[in-house]
Amino acid sequence: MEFVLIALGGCFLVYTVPILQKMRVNLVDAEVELKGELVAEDPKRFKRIITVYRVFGDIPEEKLKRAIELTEEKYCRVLHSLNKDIEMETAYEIIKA
Amino acid sequence: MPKAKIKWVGEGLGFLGEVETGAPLALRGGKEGGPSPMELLLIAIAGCSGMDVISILEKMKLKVRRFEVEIEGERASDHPKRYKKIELLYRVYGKGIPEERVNHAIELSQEKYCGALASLREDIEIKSRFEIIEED
Repeated sequence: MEFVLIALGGCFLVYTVPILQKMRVNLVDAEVELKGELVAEDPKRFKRIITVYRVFGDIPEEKLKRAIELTEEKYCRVLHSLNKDIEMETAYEIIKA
Repeated sequence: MPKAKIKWVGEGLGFLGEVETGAPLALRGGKEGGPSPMELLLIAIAGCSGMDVISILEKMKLKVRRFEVEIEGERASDHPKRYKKIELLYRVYGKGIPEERVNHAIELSQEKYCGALASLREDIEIKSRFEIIEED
């Protein structure tokens, strides 16, 4: 199940990083942290996945929000291959660097 | 509860996936590196179901020598290019492995146990088959 999270998080970054670069923001570093919650009964599928984006650099908040939205709504293949009943939560932090 | 952290490494589209135990996993965003995120999703599914099947077959006290799962996905042509169809091929090597046992183990994994498979979109078509190869 950890691999599903790495696949999802990798997919998020694969799109968000180039989108931010195209926006010509000063992106120094980026990472995502994901936590999954499973349902109690078998098959123990994901019930909820919480993603925290952490971007380092001089990045305007609205640009980051837009990049995340585009990634999630339009591009991320892994996200759209997952069960729609999984509750997805996204948060972000911008760290000046 | 499962957790993971993915870091962007370097100028290109290289990523490192970290989990609590085990070595970090290199992901491919561009042309070089490990599996792409979509390939990794296939590995997650094949690994999850494969682990179920082998542990069920072992509980049945069957003489499995080797075991492997091959997985292939077909994507939609429009963005987001999600999976439309996933095909699994389970290959069991061993002596006197009854077909109905393998079939039952696969059914149990797919219907009851495999959390990664149950986390997929419901309209992805899942196809599976198996081969039993007689081996001493």
